[in-house]
Amino acid sequence: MPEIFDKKDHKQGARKSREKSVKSEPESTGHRRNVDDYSEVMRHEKPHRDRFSWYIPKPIDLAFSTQAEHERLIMVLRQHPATQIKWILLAVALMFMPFLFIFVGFFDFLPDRFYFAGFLGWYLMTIGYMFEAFLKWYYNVYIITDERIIDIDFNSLINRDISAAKTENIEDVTASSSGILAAIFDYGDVRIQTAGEKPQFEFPGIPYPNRMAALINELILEEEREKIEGRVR
Amino acid sequence: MINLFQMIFNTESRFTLMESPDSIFSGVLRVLFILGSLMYLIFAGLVIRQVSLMGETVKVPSTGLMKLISLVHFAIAVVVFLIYIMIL
Repeated sequence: MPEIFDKKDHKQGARKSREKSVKSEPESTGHRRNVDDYSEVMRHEKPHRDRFSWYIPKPIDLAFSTQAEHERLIMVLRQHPATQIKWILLAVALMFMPFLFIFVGFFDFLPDRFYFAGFLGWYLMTIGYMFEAFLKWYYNVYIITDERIIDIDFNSLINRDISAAKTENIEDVTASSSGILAAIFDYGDVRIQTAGEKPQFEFPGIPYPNRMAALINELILEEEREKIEGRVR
Repeated sequence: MINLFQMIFNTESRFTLMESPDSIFSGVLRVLFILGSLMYLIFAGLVIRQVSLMGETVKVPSTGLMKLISLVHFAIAVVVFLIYIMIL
């Protein structure tokens, strides 16, 4: 007698297909919502390319070494250029210093060849100092992803420090701004208390500190929502 | 003879007692300049390594440009080092 319908097989098949669909659900739907769906701050931001900018929402052409496969970058920040004014002014002063020495006649006792050598060395070191300071500014970035916050610091020539904290570990976010320049250009510090290994993160001199604090709070809320939905499932 | 030639050669420049080849101060200054430029050469080499490390950590599109600048900086440091050896 030919089998038209086998209840046992049908049940097993249905169970298998249900398991398959549950397993594949996070992949097919992306599991995490798009940042525009839950963040008021990011909703109005357009994707940006890194053109030596200090405020890069939804970066297109940026990544970092410890980035996970499905981790999406929401915001990349550098310190506001107004915070770099010290080394810029110092570099300008260093540029004019040799002319001052000539005017005063400070090194007149030196023969010409030493004078020339001094000039060369002085400007080489000034260029080196400027390049080093620029590199420090350019590569010291603060990254906010949909999973964590990352602070990348290059403290000296060959020392690097990468600290990260998961959004679920963030306990408190404080934004502060002080000074005339900070008020004019809207930059300041954001301090983040975490329950992780590194108890405090500091993003100093970043643009729009209040907006960034609001964004991190939105990410925390989203993380909590995901946790609750995960429990319901 | 060579020292005499150097003194004649330098008649256009400012002549001081320091120009004397026997001057200790002149010799010390020469060594300091060359040592300083050698140390700077090492620093310029470290900057190349640093840019490479930074580029690996934060993948930005301008890393190529930064590497080029660091290489040019190193090349200038080499040229300055050679100039110091030649003229001092």
